[in-house]
Amino acid sequence: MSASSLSQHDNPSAQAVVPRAPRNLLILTVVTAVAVLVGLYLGLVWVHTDPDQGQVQRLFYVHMPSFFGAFAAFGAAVVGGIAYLRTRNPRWDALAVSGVEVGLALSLVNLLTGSVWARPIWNTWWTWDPRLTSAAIMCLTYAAYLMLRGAIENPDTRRRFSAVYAILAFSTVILTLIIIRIRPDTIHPVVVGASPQNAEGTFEATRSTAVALIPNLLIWTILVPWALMWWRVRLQAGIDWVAARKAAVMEREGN
Amino acid sequence: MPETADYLWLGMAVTLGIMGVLVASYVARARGLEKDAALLDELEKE
Repeated sequence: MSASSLSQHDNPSAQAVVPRAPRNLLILTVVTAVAVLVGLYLGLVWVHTDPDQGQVQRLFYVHMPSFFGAFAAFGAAVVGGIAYLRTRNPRWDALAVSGVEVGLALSLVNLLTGSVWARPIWNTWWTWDPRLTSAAIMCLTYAAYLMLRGAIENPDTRRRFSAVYAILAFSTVILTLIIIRIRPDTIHPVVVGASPQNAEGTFEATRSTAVALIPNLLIWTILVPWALMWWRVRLQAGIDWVAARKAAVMEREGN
Repeated sequence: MPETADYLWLGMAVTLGIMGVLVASYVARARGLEKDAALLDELEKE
C-alpha cells in the first residue's frame, strides 16, 4: 500500500473509513436523481406510444442509453488502467474498478431490458443473434475482471493485472457497438441509419422520439456513471485503507 | 395496438432492481468497512 492511497486518512482512528461526501458529490447525486426521474417521465409518460409495439417500446429509452452509460464507464476503466500502469498511483486503479462495476451494472440493464422487450416483439426471451451474443460476452468478460481482482492477493500485482485486463476487455465493448453494422444477419434494429435487412422490431423515430431519447442519453451516459463512479472511488479508498491496516496488524501479530 | 405494458413494467423493475442492488452494495460495503476499522482499532490497542 503506497502512501498516496492513504493520504485522505491522515489520522485514521479519528475519522470514518469512508469520509463524509464532499458538497459537489452530494449536488451531483441530487441532480442525477432528479434528471433520471425527468428522463423516465419523458420515456414512460410524455412520448407517444408506438402503434406497432405498444407500451414495451418505451423500454428503448432506458435500453439504449444504458449501453452508452456502460460504454462511458468501461471507457473510464481504460483511462484508469492506462494511467495506473504509467503512474502506479492506486487512485487510478480505484477509477478502473469503479468503471467496471458501474459499467457492468449498466450493461446488465441493457442486456436484460433488451431480453424483456424481445419476448413480445421477437416472441423469445433470448436468441443467439450476433448483437445479443456480443453483449453477453461483454458482460461475462467484465464479470471475470471482478473475479480476477478477487483472486489476486498482492495489491500491486492485482492492480497491474487488472489494469491490463480492463484495457484489453474494452475490445468487447467496441465489438458490441459495431457488430450491428458489420453483421448483416443480425435481427437487432439500428436506430441511427438504416437497419439490417433482417431487423425485427424497428419503429418509426419521430421528433418526439428524439426529444425523449436525447436527454435520456445524456443522463445515462454522463450523470449516472459519473455519480455512481465517484461514490465507488471513495469506497475503494476505504477498502484499500482497511486492507493496508489489516496487513499491518497481521504482520505485527506474526512477529 | 398490442397490449405489452406488463413487459414494460417488468423491464423497469429489472432496471431499478439492478441499480438498487449496486447502490445497496455500496452502503453494505461501507458499513462493513466501518466494522472492520473498529475491530482493527481494538486489535491495535491490545
